[in-house]
Amino acid sequence: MYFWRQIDLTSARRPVLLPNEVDILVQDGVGLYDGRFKLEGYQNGRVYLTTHRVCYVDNVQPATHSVAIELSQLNRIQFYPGLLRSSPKVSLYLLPPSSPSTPTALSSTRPISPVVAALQVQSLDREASPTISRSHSPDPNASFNWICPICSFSNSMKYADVDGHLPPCLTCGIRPAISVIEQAKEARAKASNVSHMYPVPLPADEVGFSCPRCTFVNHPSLLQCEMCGATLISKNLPPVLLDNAMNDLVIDERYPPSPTPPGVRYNDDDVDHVKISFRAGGEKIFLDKLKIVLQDRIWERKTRRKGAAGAMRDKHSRTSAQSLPKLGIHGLETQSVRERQRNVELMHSLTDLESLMRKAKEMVSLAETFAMRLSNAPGVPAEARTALLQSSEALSLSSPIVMREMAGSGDETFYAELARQLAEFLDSGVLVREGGILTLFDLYALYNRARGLSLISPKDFYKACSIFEKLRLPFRLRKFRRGVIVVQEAYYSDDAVNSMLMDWIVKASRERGISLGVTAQDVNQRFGWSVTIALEELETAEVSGKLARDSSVEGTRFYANLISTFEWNWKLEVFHER
Amino acid sequence: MSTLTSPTSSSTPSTSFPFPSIYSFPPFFTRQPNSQTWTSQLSLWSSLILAYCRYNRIWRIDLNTAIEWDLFNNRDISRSLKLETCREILDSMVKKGDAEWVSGSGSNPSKNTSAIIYWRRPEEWANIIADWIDSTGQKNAILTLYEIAEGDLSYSQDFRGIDATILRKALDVLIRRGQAQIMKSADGEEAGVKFFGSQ
Repeated sequence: MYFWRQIDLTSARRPVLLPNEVDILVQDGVGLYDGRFKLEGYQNGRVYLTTHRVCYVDNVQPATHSVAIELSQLNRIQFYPGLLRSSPKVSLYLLPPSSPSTPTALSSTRPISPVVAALQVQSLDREASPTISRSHSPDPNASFNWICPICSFSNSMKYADVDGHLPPCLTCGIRPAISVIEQAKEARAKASNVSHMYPVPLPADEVGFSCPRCTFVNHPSLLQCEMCGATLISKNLPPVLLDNAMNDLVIDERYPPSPTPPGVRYNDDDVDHVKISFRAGGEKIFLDKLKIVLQDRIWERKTRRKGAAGAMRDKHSRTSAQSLPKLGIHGLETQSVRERQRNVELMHSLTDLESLMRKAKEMVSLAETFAMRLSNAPGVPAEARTALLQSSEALSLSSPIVMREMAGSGDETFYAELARQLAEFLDSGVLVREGGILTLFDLYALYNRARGLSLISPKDFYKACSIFEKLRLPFRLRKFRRGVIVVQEAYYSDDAVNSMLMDWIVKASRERGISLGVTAQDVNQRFGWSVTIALEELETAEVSGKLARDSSVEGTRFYANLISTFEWNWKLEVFHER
Repeated sequence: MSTLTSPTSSSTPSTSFPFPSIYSFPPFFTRQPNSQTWTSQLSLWSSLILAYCRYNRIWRIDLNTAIEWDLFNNRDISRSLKLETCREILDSMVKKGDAEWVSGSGSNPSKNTSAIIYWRRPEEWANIIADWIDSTGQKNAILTLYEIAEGDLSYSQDFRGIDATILRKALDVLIRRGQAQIMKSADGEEAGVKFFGSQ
């Protein structure tokens, strides 16, 4: 479980995506393996492939058993097509953990097993090797080879030359792209620095050594940990012995339910990869998409872009707060550059629809900045402000649009994903704005507007909505007598809604006198439900006998039903007979 | 005989009738779609019609004119009962025996517009008339139908001005009990009724 990190989920039990992260593929019915062993409790879930991560969300215990691996940690992948009863599997071989290339700032994840992490640090400490961080200070005179993409000649190059201008290929004379050099450099670093790539994070005073279990730094003369009583491993042990001691510990900590007899040695092959088992198919598509993602290396690009965008946003917030306007020629220059960029973006986006789709994200952020500026600027009419705010809301879903291509195999996964996104969409305040109940066609219109250009068919939409309850999402469909279908929060039972309505009507008729009933419009104003829904609710109450209607030329009003309970003994009251 | 028919069905009755509070409840004038509520509404309406007719001594209701009465029109809340709802109410009263359609010219029962309202059933009328004969010592006397309804002795009686059809039904009850006999004149017309004492 060491490689997997716990992740946060949305209310609809989808992974919370990082900034700029995009969903690519979802596949249901997968299980996880760590090395060769099944991970207990992680055998029935969905795997999400995004541009940054591979996420696993458990179907049974989504809150506690949802984990992810960052793609930047991947070394290579391997595919096992499955045989007889064994399902197809994709093995993800990972870079050794805590390697400097891991962008730990990428997410707010935490390691699941700190004990093993402590062990790793210990084992690294023992190597007592020169602690060179490969990305920060490689020997400038060392050289590495890069392969020319044109003629595949292996050129040699010194580290010192990388920052200067790039030399052309020695045989064909074509200058390589910087990315080729970067990759070659990393490959070289990986190959040569295995033994000394980890900086040692131990404190300077090395008087004691830390416990492998609780990391408490004990006095060197102790054999057992002062805090937890674990057996301490001496630094001076021969490496073979130490390896054994280490592995035993690792086995103990990591695979308590494993039926393997103690003392079996695990080679490195077992612990540096994880497997995803595809029990419901979809492994081929997953593999293809994963390869594409790994080629694109979007996570690197995006983090770089994010830096620039973040700086830009900082700038915006500063100018909007009007506290620190940037001064001087440099400020003017950057501003004009930015203005030009924005103009170009606008022009590009309007050339045709396809590019508008591609530019949608930039457009949304632009709209947001406009809205922010307007909201701060005085003298802007309120309608303009809200209109702009709503339009930028309508443009953007909180997560990338669920497409049919995204679902790995079978329509069911697609519908489930669609239902989850719908739930997120409803949760984002749409349902609250509509008073907790929304007709299906209103939701269809709202959701499709939010999707922008990749519209969804009513059939798919209805299928997604009808599995809300199956997926245990907090919404449900409700069909009224006359066939109107609405979406409402699951914890609102029909009776609860009805009694809420009745309470209000009884109170209102007491306040305003008996001669005034309520109309569907009154209910619409009071609860925010649409008039159709209000009427349906009123009629539901009427059918149950709680309301009585009064139809006149002015329309239909509803009153608390006095007719059913009214008793009149006319012989006694009018004629005073017994 | 036409003089026996109550004149009230053509004129507007007095409005001093003490209406119940449900009369000012607007939904009371709308036919309720909920069948349970409608059942309650029906029985309330038939009670109201019976009480109103008895209070104003109305024997027959002609729907075409009665629909304008304040019984079916509450001007304070500007609500009125629709003709077809009114007909539906009378239909249910006919079923319960509280009223009876007077067959008009057409054979189609839905075209009936006039109904006798039995605010007392014929059996009750029979008892009342028999008691009156007893208490006024008119046993074995022969009375015309006019004398019963409009005669001097019946002046303060409840059946004063009773509708001829209702009177005939009450007399039929007495005849079946053997307390009265219809006397026919020479030309076969019913001329009078002879009462015997109750045996």
